[in-house]
Amino acid sequence: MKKSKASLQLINLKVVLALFLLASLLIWRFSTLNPVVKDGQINFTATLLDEPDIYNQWQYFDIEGYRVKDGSEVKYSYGDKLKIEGNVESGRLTNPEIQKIGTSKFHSSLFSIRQSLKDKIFRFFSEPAASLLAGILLGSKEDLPLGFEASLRRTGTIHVVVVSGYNISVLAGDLIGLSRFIKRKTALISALSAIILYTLLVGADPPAVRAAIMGALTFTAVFLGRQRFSLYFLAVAAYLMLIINPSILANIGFQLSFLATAGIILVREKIANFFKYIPKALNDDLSTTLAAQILVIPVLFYHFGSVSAISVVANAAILWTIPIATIAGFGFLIVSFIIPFLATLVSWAIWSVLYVFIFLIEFFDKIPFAYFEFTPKQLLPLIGYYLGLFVLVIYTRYGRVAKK
Amino acid sequence: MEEWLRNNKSRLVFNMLMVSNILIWSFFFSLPDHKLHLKVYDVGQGDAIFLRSAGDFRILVDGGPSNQVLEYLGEDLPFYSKSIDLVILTHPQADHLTGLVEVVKRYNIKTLWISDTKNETRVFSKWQAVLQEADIDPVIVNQGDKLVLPDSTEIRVLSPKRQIVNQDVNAASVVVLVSYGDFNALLTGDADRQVQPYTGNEDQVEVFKVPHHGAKESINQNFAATLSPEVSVISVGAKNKYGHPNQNVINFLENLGSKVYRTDKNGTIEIVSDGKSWYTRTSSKL
Repeated sequence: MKKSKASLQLINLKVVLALFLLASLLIWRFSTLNPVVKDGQINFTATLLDEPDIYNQWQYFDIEGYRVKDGSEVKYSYGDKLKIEGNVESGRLTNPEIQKIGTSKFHSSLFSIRQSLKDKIFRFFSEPAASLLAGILLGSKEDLPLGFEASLRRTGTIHVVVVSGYNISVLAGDLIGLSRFIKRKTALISALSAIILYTLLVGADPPAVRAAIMGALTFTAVFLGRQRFSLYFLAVAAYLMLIINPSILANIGFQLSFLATAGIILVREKIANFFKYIPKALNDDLSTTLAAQILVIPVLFYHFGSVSAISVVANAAILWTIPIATIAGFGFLIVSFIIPFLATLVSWAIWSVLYVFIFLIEFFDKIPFAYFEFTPKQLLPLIGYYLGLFVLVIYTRYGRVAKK
Repeated sequence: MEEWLRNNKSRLVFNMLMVSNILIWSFFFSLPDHKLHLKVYDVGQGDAIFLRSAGDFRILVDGGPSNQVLEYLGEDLPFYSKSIDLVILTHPQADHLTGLVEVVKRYNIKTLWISDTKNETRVFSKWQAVLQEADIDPVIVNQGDKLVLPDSTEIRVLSPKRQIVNQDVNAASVVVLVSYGDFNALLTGDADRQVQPYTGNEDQVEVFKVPHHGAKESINQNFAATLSPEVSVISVGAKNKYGHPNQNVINFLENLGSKVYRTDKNGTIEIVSDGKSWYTRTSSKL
């Protein structure tokens, strides 16, 4: 007994030392970060990773976290390297000095691939199914009809098309499943490159990158014959992303994505056990969404001041359609370039699944009193919620319930 | 693979049954009802009008100021079809044209009618680019041109007149009279009172799409009296910066005994006719 305790302490010492080193590295990285200028004169060079919205005399685009408004005489496109100098007013740059110094071939060709895939979807599907599928497969929310986007927000399901890395997790999961049929080494290499390419294709948002890192780690671990250390992988993913780009910490998508994943890893099983009496098909999705929501809700509330009471039910009701639509959607895209007629048939099948999704969203959106709005940026409810949750956890662990 | 198939047999069968069920029922409900449907879509400040004839011939007149028309088309066209038989662009201004750009990209357009006008705007140059890409040859139409469908619906062009140059873009709008049996609907684009009456032999109509969003100059009173429409529809956005529609125009039409619908108040307005009788329904926002 004593011996094992000693070795435990030894391990702990190593772990603590390692953690300390990692933490100081992170702190050092944060201290080297250039703060984002909210107001005043700035000057930077960056690659444009957005397609400008053009109105008659003006065009708008996001670059390096700034919103730029410029005359529409000169056309910029995705992948252009721009040198920008101007005056920032609350995150907005109006009429800055812009100089195009080149184009990133890699980015612009990714963009054109993405565009041609989108065009295929739009040719075969009609709205809102078309933009929904484009969102699920390519993470593009820019084409969503406004009314439908609002419905997704009110029912708390917008993550399906924007902020979640759910589609990447689905892809990684499918690849793990498929890998049984091919050689290990080829499977590993092709799966990892598929995940990387796909992440870049969907725009490499923080949630997508998180899911990609985790997916890649899980994939590798499965191949090395290890268990899935999900929580460690989540931590590694967060750590890597913060080391590379510390400012990502303030990104809402980053926060939500991590909290949701952490919730799923930590409490999903427990919730699933609690709902034992519900049929498995439903229980899986219900417990996943509940677990995802547990840590996310206060942050959502903090940023947007709104809470969707129907969110858990709506998510549980629609989540099963996403893997089907994702797999069939990829199949459709491949087929559409080879045999258009077959693509039409596949598109009908996908349409029917999307139709169910849309029908359910519209149904849940109509339920009254399901969406609450308050003033955003209130810190107290946020602290109160986590404190309450913490107390609850301690109580169930060490309190009377646990003793029974 | 075989093992996976064996294990998931019931799930696969269930999914296939569900898919075919949905497809069969939506196919059933999308079958034409042998009536003419005229829908003035609520697209804000602009025009987008969809016509589905008794024999399922589809006509879209203008695309509105945004891509909202795509949602409406998605609802009104069956899932298995992405083709529109005739698109009419009354005149190339943004509030009539913008939505058509994506329509041309996404739908299979069989025929396109336009007026002989140009507009030096960004939307217009984009429009010409997509037309070229989609390999669509627009047909310039003038007074006297007409199209008779197999189900005997008639689309007659009343304006613009041939050989008139230097006309202003609004006045040169394509104006069409849609007739099905005893039912007549006049779709006017922005062709306001400077070109009214369009032919001089107009008769009474059931439905009158008020030109130019009901602007002050939109109707010639004598002409409107000749039409004495039973229903007047104004396609207009709420609180638009032009002050459309003009109250005097509305009052005048109401005094003629016409019921006046506006898309900003009534939402999308649909008129259904079997060639003898007809009725109106709205998606009512009120």
